Amino acid sequence: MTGLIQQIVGYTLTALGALFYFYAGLGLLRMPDFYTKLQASTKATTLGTFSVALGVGILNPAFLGKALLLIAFIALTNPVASSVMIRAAYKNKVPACKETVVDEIASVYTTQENGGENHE
Amino acid sequence: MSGSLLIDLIVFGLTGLGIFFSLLRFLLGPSSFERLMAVDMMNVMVIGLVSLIAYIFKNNMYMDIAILYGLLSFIETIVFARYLENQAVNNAESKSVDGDVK
Repeated sequence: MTGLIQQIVGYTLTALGALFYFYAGLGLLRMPDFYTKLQASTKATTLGTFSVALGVGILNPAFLGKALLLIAFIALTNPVASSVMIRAAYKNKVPACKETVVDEIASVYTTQENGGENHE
Repeated sequence: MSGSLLIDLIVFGLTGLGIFFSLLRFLLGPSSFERLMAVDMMNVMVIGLVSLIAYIFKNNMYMDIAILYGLLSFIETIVFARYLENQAVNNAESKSVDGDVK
């Protein structure tokens, strides 16, 4: 009985993670802008990897330790990679789509440049 | 048994569709940043796919492969992003130097 519940929970989590991977690919293909594409794909793949690794760890408890290690590793590295990519794109002045209203990072960069000029 | 095989096929099919969409974005992305983003997303999906293969083949070593692949793909993404960022900064500096000379 516990084996059946374990299999149901594990397969549900794994299929949910695969569905998130599919949605990440769809958002990567269909979003209008670089920033929205990176938003959709990073969040969906992070959640999908959490779900797939946890599902594999529940289906076979011998994998649970390394699956939790993989989850911690993805939670540490994936937002850092996304942040570095989006900073590189912003410094290269990749244009945002027409519907973008708020640009909060522009004030940060302008104040940094002004401070450097004043210091010189 | 057949039900679990069907679920495995569905899971691998959905993950493969995600990787295929990411590959399509890599092939027709307008800028190099979108190609870099597509490669990074493909790497994360491949990590999930390798952990699924670890469950299918019941071999614990594939989880080590997934963790190591994640480490290497993270370093690759950081290095390429920093390269593109420094390229932008160098272009801006060379333009300002040209303006000073003129």
